[in-house]
This record gives sequence, structure tokens and C-alpha cells, in this order.
Amino acid sequence: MSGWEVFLQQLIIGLSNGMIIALIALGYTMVYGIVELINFAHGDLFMLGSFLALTIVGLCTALPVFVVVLLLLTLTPLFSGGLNWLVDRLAYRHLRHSIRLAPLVSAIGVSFVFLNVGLLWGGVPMDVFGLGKAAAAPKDFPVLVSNDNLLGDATVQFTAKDALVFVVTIPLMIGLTWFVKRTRTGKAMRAVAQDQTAAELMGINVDRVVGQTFLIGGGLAGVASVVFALYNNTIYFQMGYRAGMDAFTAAVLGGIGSLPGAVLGGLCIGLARAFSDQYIATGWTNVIVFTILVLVLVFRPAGILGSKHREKV
Amino acid sequence: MSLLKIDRLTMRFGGLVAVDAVTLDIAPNEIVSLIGPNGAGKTTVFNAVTGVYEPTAGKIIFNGHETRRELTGKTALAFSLVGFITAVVAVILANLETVWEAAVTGNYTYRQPFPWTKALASAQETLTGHWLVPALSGLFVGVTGAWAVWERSRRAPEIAARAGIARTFQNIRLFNQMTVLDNVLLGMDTHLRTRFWDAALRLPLFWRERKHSTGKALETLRFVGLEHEAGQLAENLAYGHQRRLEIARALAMNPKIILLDEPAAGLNPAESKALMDLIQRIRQRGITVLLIEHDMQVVMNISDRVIVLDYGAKIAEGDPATVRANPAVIEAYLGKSDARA
Repeated sequence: MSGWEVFLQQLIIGLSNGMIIALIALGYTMVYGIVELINFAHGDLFMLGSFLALTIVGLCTALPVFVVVLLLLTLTPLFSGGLNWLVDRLAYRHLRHSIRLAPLVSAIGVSFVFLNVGLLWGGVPMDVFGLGKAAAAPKDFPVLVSNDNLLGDATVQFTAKDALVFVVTIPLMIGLTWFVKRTRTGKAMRAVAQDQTAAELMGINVDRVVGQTFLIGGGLAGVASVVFALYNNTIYFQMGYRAGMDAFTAAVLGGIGSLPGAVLGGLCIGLARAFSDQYIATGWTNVIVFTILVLVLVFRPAGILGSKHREKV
Repeated sequence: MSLLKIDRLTMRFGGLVAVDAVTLDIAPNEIVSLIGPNGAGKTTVFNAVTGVYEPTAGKIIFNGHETRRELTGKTALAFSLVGFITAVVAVILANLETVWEAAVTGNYTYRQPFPWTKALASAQETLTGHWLVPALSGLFVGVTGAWAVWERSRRAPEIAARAGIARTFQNIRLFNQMTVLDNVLLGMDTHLRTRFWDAALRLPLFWRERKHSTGKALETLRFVGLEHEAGQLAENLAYGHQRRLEIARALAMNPKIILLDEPAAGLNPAESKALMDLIQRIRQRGITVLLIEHDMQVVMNISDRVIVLDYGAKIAEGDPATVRANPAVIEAYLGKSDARA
């Protein structure tokens, strides 16, 4: 592999991982934008999504692969979106008018609940949960999408998995942008994010709009969990922490509250990870990612695309 | 019949009585001004009427009803559902030890699939005795709890807005990052029926409603004189235009009454003259106007009636000339004259 081929390879890996991070980051940023809550349970929601995906794969071994993938891509987002909505309804909504810290602590609590549900779920004896019988051990996710190089004999690998990541995430992001910019619900979301009281006085049901935001954010995490599981082929109950950390960093890096910012931040983190793994050392990757975060926050506290307008008076 | 009736409204914040047993009666199609020194409780009255605050005491009757969320069949169903779930949980908790032993410990084998149906059967068997009292109390707690939570959310700004009360703000609160047109369209939101699928699939309803609502929004913008700014971001408008946009957005809600909180603040004489004209035209549309204003020129010229608040209490009410001559009002504004004392 020549120098530029290595570079190209890492570019592909970085972009694929970055897209997955971006999908999770979108959930963080949407929720933050609308209720100014950092939803710490989001990473663990992502983890539960992948466990559901594994369960579905286990139940549908008889079906053809593309049907299973389609099933995963519809059922998992429904599950995690619904779960996120339910968490908002039960754990955050009643705390919306109390001090800022209250829903935050509640979110941390939900995160622990999810983590332990994941541990329990991983311990359920099922044929598909291979690789280690202990509940906490990483689980094998069956290879549903092939690892064959789409570029034929070229040294640079662009596999069907990479293609899947782009085919799923890019339309989703375009759709989300359209949704927020053009539809009634999207406009209501932006209105609530900008001035909740004014929006309420326009007759907008703020609780419903916030619920819809949680639903969509959770749905995106569900898609991300399926794509992640198909791409990496291994899941474990603590992966929500790592993914959540990356995604949260991405959201802050891009400018929390900004949708294009979250995508850009996700890609930056993904690429930084890939290039650092290749050219520096795996051990230094986290250091580099978080150094970038610190530098951006020092010199541009609102993030790369964050605007100063968002400050509330 | 009065359109808006405020009956002995009291607002207390801790020890501070912001509004003290204020009674107001506003007839349809009137222009009424609410005046008083700073901190007299005028904006607090607005906040109570629009549902931002829950009154400490007193009633607000709009159009013959209190502006509160209606109890629908769907809500009642939700109450019963919550009650049912609580009852089930209560029964399980009351019998936790025996059920756990029978259903879980009795069926649990290490690393074997858990037999859900058998466990359920064992649970049912052990539940035969002791269940009526916990079930009933659980049902009661669940229903009353759900009802209490709902009751707290009954008076919401959203409900007042849907009933036909629109307002503007003392310090302008536009959706700054949206265009002027989108701001007005948001005011119309409750009257629109387009759903996600209509927009995604471009169904006929989407086209029809988009044409209709955009036309109406532009008409409203023309009414306040902002038709040429429709594509601008709200934050880029001049100050006077932002005030007008707030009024346009409120009008787009198709309200029965519009509450204007200091609409003339920061306007130059020419602009406030145009504002007076605008308020008159709003009335001609059949909309009642209640305004808070410090600019006496505006108040005296356009009001049918003036109401004066001081320290949260109503001290005078009547047509502009009478109120202007009222000694209590002069005292509230200028203080007691030492010469007379």
C-alpha cells in the first residue's frame, strides 16, 4: 500500500465512523437545542438499540438478509425513538420548570437504568449472543453486509459496509434538514428552541413538540445503532458510553444546537480518530480528539458552526 | 356581554402582592388601555390572562368560559389506563415476596431460557388471595395522581392562544432566526391542518393549504405595512418594523382579543402616529384591543376606556378625559404635592 492509498483508506474509515457519530450527535444537539438538556442517556439508548437489533437478527434467522436489514432499519428506530419519547414523558417533562440541574441528574439516572437493562439483556441466553457467555462480554453481531471490496482488486478497500453507512445516513440527514426547515412540525421545533414562551403563546403545544424532538432524536440513535452493529459486528453493554462521549464531543465541537454543526463535528471526530490511529498511535487517539475539543472551545466557545445568537437573555 | 372578564384576580409571588383583587370587564370591539406607574402589575395581568401565570386567586372568563384545557374522552381514558397500571403494580408490590418466590425463583434455572408463560401462570396462582385492597387503592392513587398532574397543566398559554387571545411583548420576542413570513405562518399554526405526510408526499392538502396560508400571511403583512420584508430574517428588521411584525404575528392567530404590551415603546412620533392608525384598523377588523402603554398621547387618543393600576390595585377607570382629571391618578404618577399637605 503506497502512502496515498493508506491516506485514502483512512479517509474512508474515518468518514464511515464519522457518519455514525454524527447520527448520534444529531440526537444530542436537537434535544439540547430545544430544552437545553444534555441527554446523558442518549449513548445508552444507542446501545439498547443495538441489542434490540441483535435480538431481531436472532429471531429472523430464516429471512433473507436484505429483509432482515430493512426490518432492523425500521423496527430499531421505532423502538429507540419511542423509548426516548417515553423517557422524556416520565423523567424529564415534569422537571422542565425546576432548576436546570434536576433534569440533568434525571438523565444520568436514566443512563444507569439503560446500562443495567443492557447488561441484563446481554445475559439473556439466546443463540445469537455468541462470543463469551458472561452477560458483560461483547456479543458477536452476525455479518449481514459483506466485507467484499466494491472496488474490485484495488488495494483501497471500499466495502459494502462503507456503502451501507453512506446510503443510510446521507439521505437521513438531508431528510432531517428538510423536515426542520420546511414542515410545520420542524418550524414549530425551531420556534420552541428560539423562544418557548412566545411559541406557547402562538398556540403551539410545547410539550408535544419537545416529545416529537425526543422521538426523532431517539430514532436517529436507533438507525445509528443498526448501522454501527452492521459495520463493526460486535456490540457490548458499555459501548453507549464511548459512543455517547464521541457524539457529545462532536455536537459541542460543531456548535451544540446546530444540526449541520453536529454532522460536521461527527465527521471531524471520525477523521481525527482514523488519522491518529494510522499516523500517530492508537493510544494517543483519545488525547488528540479531546485536545481538539479543548482548543476549539478555547478559541471558539460556541463551536465551529454555533452562532452567538442562540444565547438567551 | 363582556368578552373578557377578570374577576378579583390576585397574583402573589412569595410575600409580594403583584396584583390585588383586580376586576376588569372588557366588551367586544373596545380599545382599552391599562396604565400605571412602573411595577404597578400591568404585565402581570397580561401574563395571568394569557396563561403564563396561574392566578393565586380569582377567575378569568374569556368568551363565557375559563381558558382551561377541556377534559376529553382521550384524557379520561389516559387516567383510567394510568390507574389500571398503578393497580397492577400495587397488587404485585403487596404480594411481592410470594409472587417472586413462585414465579421467579421457582422457575429460574441458570442459563436456561426463562419460561415466561409458566412464570405468569405461577404468579396468577399465588395472587388469588390478597388483591382487592391493593388493587382498589392503586387504582385510586393512579387516577387521582394522573388527574392532579393534568389539572396543573390545564391553564397553559397554548390553551389561551387557541381560545383567541393573542399578545405582543414589552421586549420584542420574535423568532429571530426565521424569516418574517415564517414568523407570521407560525402565528397561524393552530389553524393549519397539514401533517407530515401531506408535506412529504406533496398531497393536495399541502399545496392548497400552502397557497392559502401564504396568501393570508402576506395579506396580514400588507395590513401592517411589511409586505416588502417578507423574505428577511426577523432579526434584521428595523426596531419599529419588529414591533409591527409582532402585531402581524399576533393577528395571524385570528384572535378575538389582542393584548399589546407597550407597542409604542421606542417609537418616534411619526411611527407612534402610524401605530395609532394601525390599532384603529385592527379594531375595524372586529378585534378587541387591550393595551399597556406609557405614551399618554397614544393612550388618550385611541382608548375608549382607561384603567389605572397602582401597586397592583385598580385605582381608577373611565373614559380618557375623566381619568386624566382624577386626583388619585395624578397622585400615583406625580406623588402627593407637599404644598397641599
